[in-house]
Amino acid sequence: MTLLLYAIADAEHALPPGLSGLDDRPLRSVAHGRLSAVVGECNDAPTVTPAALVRFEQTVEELMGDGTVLPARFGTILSDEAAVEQLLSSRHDQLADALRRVTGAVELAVRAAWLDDVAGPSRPPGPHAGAEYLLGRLERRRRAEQLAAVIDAAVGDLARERACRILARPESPVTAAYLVSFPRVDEFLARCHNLEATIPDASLVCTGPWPPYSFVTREQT
Amino acid sequence: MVTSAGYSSPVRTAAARDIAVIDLLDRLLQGGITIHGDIMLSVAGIDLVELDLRVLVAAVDKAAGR
Repeated sequence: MTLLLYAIADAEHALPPGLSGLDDRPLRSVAHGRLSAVVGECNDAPTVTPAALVRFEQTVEELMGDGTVLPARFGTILSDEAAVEQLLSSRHDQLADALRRVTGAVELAVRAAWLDDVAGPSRPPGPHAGAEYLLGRLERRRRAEQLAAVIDAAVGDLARERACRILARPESPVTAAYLVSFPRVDEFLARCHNLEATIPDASLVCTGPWPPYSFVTREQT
Repeated sequence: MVTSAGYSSPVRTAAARDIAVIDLLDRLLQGGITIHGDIMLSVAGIDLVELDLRVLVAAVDKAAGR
């Protein structure tokens, strides 16, 4: 019987009573030092299904409702409690530091989409097609970087940290994540809403608040 | 979206819901704490997101009752 990791929290973090995870398995907490790991038993590595993903996310959000947690990536399994303690022990200071950085904050995602059709740079025929194709790609990157700067100028001062990806997908010029303290969330969302009206060529969608998936390690910020 | 924190969801339109599901997948399968070598999924996360996104977006939407 292996253990599925849901989140890592402060050692004092109390599990909400009766909270269960995937397959309605009860959750338990394994503590080490200043940290605790929230795990649930699982028979094997979990299968990626829509229902499992949604249940996992709901479970982590329930845990977050009782205090700050570091969410685990879906499918992170450990062989037994000793392995959980080993994880908490070997990365104790790094995890405690990450927990401290995200305490009292949530992640908000801002994703932009172009309103005109710039997603499909199919290679046109013709003698100068290659050059045009490359210039088109450069132009799309330039526009995406510009848009990222506009978004950051509008909301960046409200965030503790940011993680931004340019052209992560052809249809997504900007995919940004911001770590925002609780009291600033409403203003962040309001500013995003107002910002969209000032951008003629892109739509903005803000989702969250999420557990701080994009801010659990320093490398990702 | 997070309901436990008590915020109202800013996601309103159908296209925005799709984006919310993509954001969910991005986070659960590519974010969060990992243990090197211990991630074992029945479906490879990256392929899932890149290749079968449309199918999964629709399916997650359905599972979430949206």
